[in-house]
Amino acid sequence: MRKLTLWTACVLSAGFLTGFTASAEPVTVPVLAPITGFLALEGGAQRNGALLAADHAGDGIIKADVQDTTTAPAVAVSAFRRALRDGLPPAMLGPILGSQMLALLPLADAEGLPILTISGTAKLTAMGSPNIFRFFPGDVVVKAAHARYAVEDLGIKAPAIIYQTTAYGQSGRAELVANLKKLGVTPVYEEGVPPSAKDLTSALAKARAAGADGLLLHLHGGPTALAVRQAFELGMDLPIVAGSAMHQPTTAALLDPAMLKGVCAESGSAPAAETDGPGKTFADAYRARFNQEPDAFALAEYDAMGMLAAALKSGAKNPADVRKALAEMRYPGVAMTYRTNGRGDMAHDAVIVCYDGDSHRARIAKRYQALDGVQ
Amino acid sequence: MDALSLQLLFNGLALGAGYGLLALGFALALRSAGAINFAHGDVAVAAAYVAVAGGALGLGGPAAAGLAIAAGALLGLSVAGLSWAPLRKRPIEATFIAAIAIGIVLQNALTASFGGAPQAPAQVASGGVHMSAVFMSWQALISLAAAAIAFIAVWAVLAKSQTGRRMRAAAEDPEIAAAHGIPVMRLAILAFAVAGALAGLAGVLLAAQHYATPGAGADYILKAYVAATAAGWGRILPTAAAAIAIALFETIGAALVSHAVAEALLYAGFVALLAFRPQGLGGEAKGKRA
Repeated sequence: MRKLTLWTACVLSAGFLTGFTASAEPVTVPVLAPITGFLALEGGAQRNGALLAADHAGDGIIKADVQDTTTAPAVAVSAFRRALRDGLPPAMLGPILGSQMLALLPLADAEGLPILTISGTAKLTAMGSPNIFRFFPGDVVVKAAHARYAVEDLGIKAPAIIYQTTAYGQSGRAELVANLKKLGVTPVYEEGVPPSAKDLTSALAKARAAGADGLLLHLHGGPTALAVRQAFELGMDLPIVAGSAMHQPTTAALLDPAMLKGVCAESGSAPAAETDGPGKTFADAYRARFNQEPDAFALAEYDAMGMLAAALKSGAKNPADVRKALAEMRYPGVAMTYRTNGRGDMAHDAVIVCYDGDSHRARIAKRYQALDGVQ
Repeated sequence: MDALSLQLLFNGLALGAGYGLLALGFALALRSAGAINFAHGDVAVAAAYVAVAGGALGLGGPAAAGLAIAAGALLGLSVAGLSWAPLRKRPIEATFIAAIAIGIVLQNALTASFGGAPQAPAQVASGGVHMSAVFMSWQALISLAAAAIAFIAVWAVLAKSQTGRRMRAAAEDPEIAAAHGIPVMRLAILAFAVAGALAGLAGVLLAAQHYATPGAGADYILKAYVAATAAGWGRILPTAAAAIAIALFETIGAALVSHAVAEALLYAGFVALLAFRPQGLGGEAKGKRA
């Protein structure tokens, strides 16, 4: 196992670290992540992805300085200040939580510090900052895949949408509706549910009564599992295409495999579902290092750190160099090839995964590239 | 009544079983020790995670649930020992701030140990039965049965046993009770242990159907607090009944309007109740509210 880990580390490192030498000064990269609080699952994946990328740098070339931001913007600001106490790093990996990123952006602009993030908050790259680089496809990308797979592949013509009432849920719902409209489809039923809702029977029953021929979910992990389970218990024989929470192995683990039959989900990537290539190599290395299944957030953070390492390798030494490199490079990461759209959106591809009902393991059903037109 | 209404009624009662057990424990500690245990929801969640850990070690659903109940009792004792006993003669704010602090410690310990992903303990029984067009999971039926047994047992102990009579006497006037030789302190600590066990049972039953996350305790304690206030501060069984009513409102109200509107109406109704009848529907048994 040790040999396998070393081998996979070498393979994954080769793409972005050739050119670094063991004698290079270690570069400390602050990694701000919500490791505790309600986003601990995603924050933990973010931390793990960064740590694995730093591991694969080898010989301490990159040192990941992980700081917990919990879920309060003020704590993220404190972590930002703490990270800069010994001088300005060449770049920072920011927290996944959008409200924290919005709080950090003015500080980053004041310092001229590039922040690489996997936050999906659309506003981040719409504010004209030259210092934001987003490595997770936003709703503009993944909801295009969500809508297209439901309509073009599953033939859903009268979908019902159940979404979270949080900012995350409303943003995703808006993009989903807009993409359905482009495809000539109008939802027959929509309902927002708070994350604390313990029973989704009524929303599901109303969707059925409205004549829905498919369910489109955009919910957090627990509510997604609850909706899938209760739809199964109600005997709703409708195709379900869920948001990215359903691609996470931890969400699938909450359900009996039979309940997952025919359930699909969008995501930026799905490393746990990859059966060969760099995605599987990454997933194996992640399992060996952390003894858990990787998700798209971990891989996006891994690729973000990878692109930063590639920028440093190409000669970037300070924030201005890194910003220029990230704005100009095309980086072939594990999940996809990253390049900016001019506003700092680096990720433009998405996948659809589906479950066959025999196990908790998803398979990649479809890959979409350049969904926002960025080639 | 159509099939959907029956389904919602059943689901609401099953959810109410969990809420009711939680509120029962909260009210028991409140009545017996005068303690506003804000860590009660976190104790329930921590106990559910103990059941998750037990399942990972190979325990089946019933054994894991038993472990959760025991863990809940131990955590209840810990809360009594850390936040109530040393501070009970201080202003009441000290005890409930200390309980909040214990709850936060529990949340972060769970996050550090288990991560932030939703978890589900092994079910006591999987699958279910369709009666007409209504699906009743065995887990939900077991929740209802367990809650009914717990409610009857607590009522019987409080109303019929010597210990229950002493508990009530100690709650009414601790100083007079102590003068009559009633071990007030010991009874209060017993109440915390029983409340913790009830929280453990509630936690494992709720998590088996609705999943647990480290931060779920905040929602649980809010429901218990609202139920205790609405029923009348310190009224034990009415508090449990109020918690069941909250669960029914959540499920049936969501069908009549929507989840978001039903939640808003629930708390608007609570505010209105406080405005017109601040002592709660049944009046205050304890006569003192924080």
